[in-house]
Order: sequence, then C-alpha cells, then structure tokens
Amino acid sequence: MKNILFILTFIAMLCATYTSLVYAPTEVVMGHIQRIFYFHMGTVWAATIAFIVVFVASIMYLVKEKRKWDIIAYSAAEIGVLFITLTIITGSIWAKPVWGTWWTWDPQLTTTFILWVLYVVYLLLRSGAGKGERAAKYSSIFAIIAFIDLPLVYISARLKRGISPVVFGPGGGGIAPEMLYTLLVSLVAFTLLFIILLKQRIKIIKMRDTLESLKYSGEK
Amino acid sequence: MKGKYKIIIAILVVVTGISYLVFAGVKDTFVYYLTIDELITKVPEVYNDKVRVSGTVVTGSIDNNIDRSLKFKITDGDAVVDVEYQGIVPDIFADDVEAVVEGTLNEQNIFKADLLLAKCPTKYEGEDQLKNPNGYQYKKEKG
Repeated sequence: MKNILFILTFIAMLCATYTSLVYAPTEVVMGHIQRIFYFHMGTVWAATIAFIVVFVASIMYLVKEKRKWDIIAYSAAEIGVLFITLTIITGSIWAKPVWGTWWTWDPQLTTTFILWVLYVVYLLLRSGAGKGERAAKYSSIFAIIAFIDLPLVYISARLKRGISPVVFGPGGGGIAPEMLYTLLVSLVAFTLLFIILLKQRIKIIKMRDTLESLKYSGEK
Repeated sequence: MKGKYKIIIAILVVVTGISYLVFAGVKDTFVYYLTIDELITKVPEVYNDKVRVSGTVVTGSIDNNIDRSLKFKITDGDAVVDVEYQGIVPDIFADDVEAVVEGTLNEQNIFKADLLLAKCPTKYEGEDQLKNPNGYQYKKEKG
C-alpha cells in the first residue's frame, strides 16, 4: 500500500514535469519563465494544505489532548515551512525578470512573508520548549492564531493594491485551458508529495517516541 | 531556562519583524502604490517625498537613451505623468504595460524613478492562441 503511494507520486511528479515544461504553451508576454508558475502554485498549494492540517490538528490536540494530534500538527508545520519557503524562492526567481525585482512589499508578498515568519517561530517554539504537554498546548494556541494570516495571503491581492496578479476567480484574468490542465496535474503531484512527506515525518516522530520510552524503561 | 530564552528570542523576532513590515511596507499611505490621480491631488506636498505610483505606459512614449536612461509617460487614462529612470528595466516593460515606479516627483512635475517595476498580466495565454482572432488582446511585438 505504501509503495503504491510512492509509485503514484513518482508518476505524478514525472507527469507534472512533462506538462509544465513541454505540454503547456509558452506564455505570450512573459515567455518561458512563466512555466515556473506550475511549481510556484504547487508549492503554495502544498503549504496551504499543510497549514490547514496544522490548524485542525492543533484544535484537535487542545480538545482531545492526544499526543497523536500534536505529532500531526508539528509534522505538517515542518512541511508547510519547507513548501512556503520554496514558494517564496520560486516567486522571487519569477519576479526578477518579469516585475524587475526579487522582492517588493506588496500586500500579498508581505502577508506571505509574515506567514513564513509565524511558522518558523512555531518550529522554534517547538524545538526550544521541549516536549512537555504545556509546551505543546502553547504551541497549539500559537498555531491556531497564526492560521489567521493564511486567508489574508489569498485575499490581500484582491482587497489591496499590489503587484501580484489576480489570475483566478472573480476579477481574475484566467489562463489558457492547457495551462489549467497542467496546473491541475501539478496540484495533484504536490498533494501526493505532501501526503508522503507527512506520513514519513509522523512515522519518524513515532519511532523516536518509542525509542524514548524504551530508554526510559531501560533506566528504571 | 534554555527553553525560555528561545521563546523570548522567537517572540522578539516576530514582534520586530512584523512591526518593521507594517512600518516600512505601508508607511503613511497604507497602500502599496498611489494612483496617478492621487499623486496629482497631493501636489505640492508630495514634491520630493518618496512614493510609489502606478499607471499604464503611454503607447509610443518610451524614449531609450544611449546612456541606458529612459523616459516615458504613464497614464490612468486621464492624466499623464512624465517619468525619468535609469537602471534595470523589467523584461515585459513595453507600451501599454502597467508599470509601478518608485521615486520622487520634482517641482517640474517630472517623476524621477529609482525603481521601475512592471505588473505581469493577470491573463496567461499561450503563444499559439494568438492566431485565434477572438482570443488575446496583446500584440505579438510586445513579447
């Protein structure tokens, strides 16, 4: 079963690479650099799912007080930070030739940066505060509050003037059909990649927990 | 004790980071850029203030000089502002593109830009779709 997921992710990633580099048409105004869009969106999509998981798992931890939920929240936050970092990097690479700058304090970029800082701080809290239940509870509360910024990232470009384009939804310009298919392949691939990484990370933490408890029982 | 220090450092990072952003990002305007209309209504107080302004590049107004300096006009469809700039030009900068300029308006009403940004299109269209007459508005020579 686990291998099926690995194989599926591998195939999806190959398909996403092919569709974004070969199948998708070259954008008229921006040229080949626009192909980074599929990777940029894939990573921000995975980060979004990750932060939703952190949010839900943090609430569940506060309600149920089960270690399981804490592990899920922490693992998802780590992966979320990884993906949002990649989003910022790919965005910068894209912005340099097209906008003319690596970075600018546009509303969407600013809220994204705040999102990045918040979850990096969350990881710092986790690493510094140890594994006590109180630390886990404080971290859960922090994660729930930090989540407020996520919808802001999405609506900021619509509500405030900025340089980030609104491509989808009402007021957006839309994309060519082939670009949309390519994007969907990419989103599927990144979703699968996220699931795999999350499962692996949870497994590692559980193994560490087992190791700790074995060590503890050994000392007694 | 060690854990407590880390928490304090973490919170300091957040507080300084966010307050810096709020301060530097929005300054006194609370908008990322001014429209040309807003810029003009702020004359003369706006002279020599560092501002960001956005407008559409007037077709045919781009004047490239040999020393890599650049003159062009931006408009909101109504008023027009002359811009002078020297520096890196974004790849997609051309006639009719929405540009964002950062700099100061001088007393001669010339905007001296020290940063020129171009807004990317919100509509992504493939090259082959240009052949479709009902399709895209952009002209080929722009790309």
